[in-house]
Amino acid sequence: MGKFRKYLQRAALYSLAASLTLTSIDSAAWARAQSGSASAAIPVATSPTASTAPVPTVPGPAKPVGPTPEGLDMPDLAFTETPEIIDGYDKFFYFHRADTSFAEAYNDIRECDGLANGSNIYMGDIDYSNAAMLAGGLPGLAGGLIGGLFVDAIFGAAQRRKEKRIKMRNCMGFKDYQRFGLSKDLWKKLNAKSKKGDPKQTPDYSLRLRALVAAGPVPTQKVLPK
Amino acid sequence: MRWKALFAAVLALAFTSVAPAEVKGPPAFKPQAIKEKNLLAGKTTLDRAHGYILSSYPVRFQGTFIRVPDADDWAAYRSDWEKGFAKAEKDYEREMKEWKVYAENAKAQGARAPSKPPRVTRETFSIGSIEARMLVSFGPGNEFLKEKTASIYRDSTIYRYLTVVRPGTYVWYGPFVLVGGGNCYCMGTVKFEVKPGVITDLGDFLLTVARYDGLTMDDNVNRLPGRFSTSPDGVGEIGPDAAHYGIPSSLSALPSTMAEFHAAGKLNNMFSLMISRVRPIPGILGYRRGEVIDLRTGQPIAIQIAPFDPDAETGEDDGD
Repeated sequence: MGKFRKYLQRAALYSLAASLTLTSIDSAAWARAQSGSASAAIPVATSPTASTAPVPTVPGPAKPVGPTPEGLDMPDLAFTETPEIIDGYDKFFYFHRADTSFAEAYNDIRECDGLANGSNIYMGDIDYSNAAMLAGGLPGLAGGLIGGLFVDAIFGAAQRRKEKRIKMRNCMGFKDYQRFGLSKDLWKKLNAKSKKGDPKQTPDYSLRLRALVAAGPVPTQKVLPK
Repeated sequence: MRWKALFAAVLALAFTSVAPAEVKGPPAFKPQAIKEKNLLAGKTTLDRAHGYILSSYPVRFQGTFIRVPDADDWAAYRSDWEKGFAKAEKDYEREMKEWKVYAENAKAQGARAPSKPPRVTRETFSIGSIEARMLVSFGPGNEFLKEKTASIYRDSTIYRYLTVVRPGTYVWYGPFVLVGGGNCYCMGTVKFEVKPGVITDLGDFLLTVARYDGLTMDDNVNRLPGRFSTSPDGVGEIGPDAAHYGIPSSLSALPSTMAEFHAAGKLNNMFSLMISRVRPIPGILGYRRGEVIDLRTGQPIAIQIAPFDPDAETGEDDGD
C-alpha cells in the first residue's frame, strides 16, 4: 500500500510539473523550439504572403465585475423533490441569509471560497481577478494545488470535493447563512464555470450568481442542518 | 607591466572568490521542543532571553502557533520582498524582449500572437504571506515529560510539551502539525503573550476550553448535536476556569505565569486545511455573523495580521 501511495504521489507531482510547464509556454514558441529552428530567437524577413495574411484577433478575457448584480438574472431554482434528490442534499445545496445585501453575500462567499481553496484571502484588498480565480475553483496557491493533487491521488477526488463542501458549510454556517437543498442539475447551473466568449459571463459569474441567490428572496423550502 | 596587471587580476580574483558574500551573524534562533531528560542532564539550559511555552494534556496532543510578526520580522520580510521584486522586474524585462521576438515572428508568419507576459507591479507581486515564517509547532511526540502522577485526569497520565520560542504574541492556529494536516482555526481563535525568561503555562486550555466549532470530515461526529455553537457571546459554553495548570518542579529555575488568553482575528488558510474556529469562550471570544468579537473590549477584530503594504511608511530614520 505504501509503495502504491508513493507511486500515486509521484504521478501527481509529475502531472503537476507537466501541466505547469505546458501552460507556461506559448504554443507557437513551443513548436519552434521543437523544430530546432533558430527563428525562435531571430526575427525572420517578412514574406509578401505572410505580410498580407490577416493576424487573427483574439478577444481579451472578460474582467470580473466585482460585487454588483448588474447583468444577472435571478435563476429559477424551483424543482420537484424526489427521494433521490433529497439523498443528494449533502452534495447539492445553496446558501441564503435574510437581511443581507448582494455585496455582503458576494464578499462572504468570496472569503469562504478563498479559505476553502487555501488562498491567502486575508492578504489585503485583492482585486477581483483573484475572486474570479477562486470562483473558477482553482486553488489560490501552488501549495493548495499540490495539496489538492495529493488528496486526489491518495483519497480520490470525491474526498476532496467532500472536504470543500464541509469547509463551505462551516464557513458560511459561521456567518449564519442557512442551507437549502438543490437538484443536481440546478446546482450545476449555479456553480458552472464561466463560458468563454459570453460577455455576460464574467470570470466571477458563478460567485455573483450565488451571491444573488444568497441575498435574494427567502426560499420556501425546508432549511437543512448547517 | 603586463605581468603586473595579470598578477593583480589573479590576486583580485582569488580574494573575490574566497571572500564571503556577506558577513554572517549568529545562527538564526529556531523554536524547538525541550525534553526534561536533556534539561536534567545539562544538555539543554533555560535561557532568560528566550520565552517558553508549556502545555499539558491527558492525551498526546499537537498544534501550531503563529507568532505575530514584530518590527524586525517586518523589516526582514520587506527586505526579501524588495529583492524579490527587483528580480521579478528584471525577469519581466527579459521576458518582454523574448516576447517581442516571438510576436514579430508570429506576425510575419500570420500565426496567432503569443500572449504578453503579465506585468509585475508592486500591487500584485507577492513572496507569500509573512505568517508562513512565524509558525511554531509542538507534539504529538517529543514531549517534555510524560508523567504518571496523581492528577485530575482519569488514568493519571499527563503529557507536557515545552517549546523554547522568541518572546512575543502567539496565536493558536489549530491542532495540526505541518506534516500531518488537520484543521485551522482560521475564522476565530485565541492569542497570548510570551515574555522573555518566563515559562508561559497554557495548561490544557487549548484542549479543554478552546474547542472546535463546526463540522469535521467524520460523518459520525457531524451527526452529534451541537456541532455549531449557538451562543455568539459564549454564554453556556465552557469558560476559561475549566482549564487546569501546573508546572513540573524541573522548571523551577525560571518564573512561570498562567497564559492570559485574548480573542484573535482571522488568519489565512495557508495549508488548505479544514476551516474551523474556536468555539465562543465566555469573557474572551465571541462572534457576530462570522466576525470575531473581543469580549474583553466588545470590539470586533478584523484580521489578526495586517497585510503587507510595500509602499507603507516604515518609520525608519532617513537621516534628515
